[in-house]
Amino acid sequence: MEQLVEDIKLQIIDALNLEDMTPDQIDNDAPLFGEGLGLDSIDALELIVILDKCYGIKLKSPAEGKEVFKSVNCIADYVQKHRTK
Amino acid sequence: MMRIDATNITSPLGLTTAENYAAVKRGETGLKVMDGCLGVSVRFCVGMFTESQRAALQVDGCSWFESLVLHSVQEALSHSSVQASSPRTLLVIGTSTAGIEELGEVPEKDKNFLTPGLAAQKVARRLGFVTTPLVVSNACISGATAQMLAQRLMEAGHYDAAVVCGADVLSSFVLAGFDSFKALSPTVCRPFDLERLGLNIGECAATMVLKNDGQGEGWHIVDGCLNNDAYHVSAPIPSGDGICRTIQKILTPELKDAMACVTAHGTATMFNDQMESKGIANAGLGDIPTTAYKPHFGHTFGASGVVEPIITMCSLDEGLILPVMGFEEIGVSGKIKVCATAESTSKRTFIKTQSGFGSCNGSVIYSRESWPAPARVEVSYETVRQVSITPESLRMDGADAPVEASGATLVSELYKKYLSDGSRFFKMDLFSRLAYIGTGLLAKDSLEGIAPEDIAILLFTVNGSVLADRKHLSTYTHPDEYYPSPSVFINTLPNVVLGEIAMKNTIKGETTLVMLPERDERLKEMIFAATTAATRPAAVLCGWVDCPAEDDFFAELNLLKIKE
Repeated sequence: MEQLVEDIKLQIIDALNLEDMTPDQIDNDAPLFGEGLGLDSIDALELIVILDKCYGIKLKSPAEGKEVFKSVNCIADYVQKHRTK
Repeated sequence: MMRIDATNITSPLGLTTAENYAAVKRGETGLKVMDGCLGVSVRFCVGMFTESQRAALQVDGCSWFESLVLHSVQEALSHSSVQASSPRTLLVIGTSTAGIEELGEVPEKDKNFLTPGLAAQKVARRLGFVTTPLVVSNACISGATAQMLAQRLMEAGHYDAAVVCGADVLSSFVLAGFDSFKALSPTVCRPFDLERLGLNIGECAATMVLKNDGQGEGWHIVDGCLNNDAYHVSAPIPSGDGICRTIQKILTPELKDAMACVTAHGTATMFNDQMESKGIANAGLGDIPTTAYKPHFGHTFGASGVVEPIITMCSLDEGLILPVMGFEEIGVSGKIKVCATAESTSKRTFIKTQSGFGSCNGSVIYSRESWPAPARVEVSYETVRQVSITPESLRMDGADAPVEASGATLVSELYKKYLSDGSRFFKMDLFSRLAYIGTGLLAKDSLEGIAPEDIAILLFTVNGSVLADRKHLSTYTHPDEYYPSPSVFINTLPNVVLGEIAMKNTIKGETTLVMLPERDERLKEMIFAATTAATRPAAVLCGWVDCPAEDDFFAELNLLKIKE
């Protein structure tokens, strides 16, 4: 699980071009949107791409991802349960 | 008076204005559900030409985009006395992506790939135009922007006639991009309806031949207004403030009384229609029928601002307001009167609204009646600040500033040193970064005391977003590696940076990106003068930004202020 959390953080940093950010600067439980990382609607769509590309999980819309994308821990939980690759 | 002398619509519904209008009136749609399309294996509902239509329209030695423009312009000109070959005739093309797909065929280091400006040049020469064609790329409001540009250049006396063509074609490039935005409806779209599921993409070219002859019967452009709402590059401002201000700026009480209908953008996305309903209602047009044609054509982007007003002109000529096909129950909170069944009217004036990526909005009023011409006063501007950036240098107000890095890294260095504002900077492509940092340096501490609505952006480019285009191509062309990225795709619309700049510096005036076949100072000055004479902003961020390769770019930008 720890490795998965680390992987997801690196994938987020890479896909969202979070320049100069390291995984330990992202709090596992902090909200990704609004406060916390301050991600926006395009980033939410980009997270959908990460889930598909890295874990074979297909979400249809950002609305479906609302619960999943609450924090890095939430994403890791969801990935562990639903991953197909 | 800017008279519309002739028109054409080339769409899957027909190859002339008459064929298209007849099909729309009969309630036909050019949209079809397809399991996979142009190599993208997703279920789409799209407005695409059939193979036989494509074969008939395809011109040897031309891209599909160019072929479509050629047909539309040629057919429109066949109904007009306007001569393409006159040195007083201009061609303006409004497009969001032009023939972008062709890029895949071109080696990366080849500088002579088909930029939108060069594609326009090629089409212009084939049609016999002798003047340099202009391309405006303002996403979904490209059609209105092209008409405004043509109108202003004619008013300024540079041309007697202008051919305005709005065109965009379907390609895996656009399909994959919008697929990643999760904004596509799997069925025929339903603007303003409670059950709307998103938009359909359609391909189309539509043309208006404009003549500045101050006489003659027929439809003409009364006035138009473009602006930026500085809210978000891809999400419309929930209040509809931007579109509302464009309407308010040009709507007089007399025009309102004469208004038959609003021809809305009505893309059928949740957010656009909600926003637009509020904008229309708040501008005082909630009691006039609102119609929209996307269920017939799909969203044709650069073409939509040309094809849709043409359809309304045809319908009002028959005393009809056509309904929004498929509309059943209102699903927006702005109090507007969506036209659910055909209505009759004797009025001959209407407004076309549109909004797009890059937080831009535009409205244009058309009429068959005579209205006083909008005031145009040539005003003078003085350059108050200058910034130029190359891969090796930064010059500000005539003096070299020390830099450490070079190439693309230099642009990031400048951001960290001078702006570092926590924006989406690192998510932008290099073209956008360059424009963002250049205008940011100019605007810093220089725009205080000026109303946001009174500040404009006018940028010129040759290569636009070509680096982002190539990057986007690489995200979906391999079937096993189909992962189009929304943040890469959005940068393929070169005007998106205008939204970023507007948000950063709170700019709510007109923001436009003009693409030319090559760098041309004379045209830039001419467009600047004609634009400012019509809009009279207090301050303008204006200049060139070009970025053909990671290590080959420049920005030369000025902040100009009006002379009292």
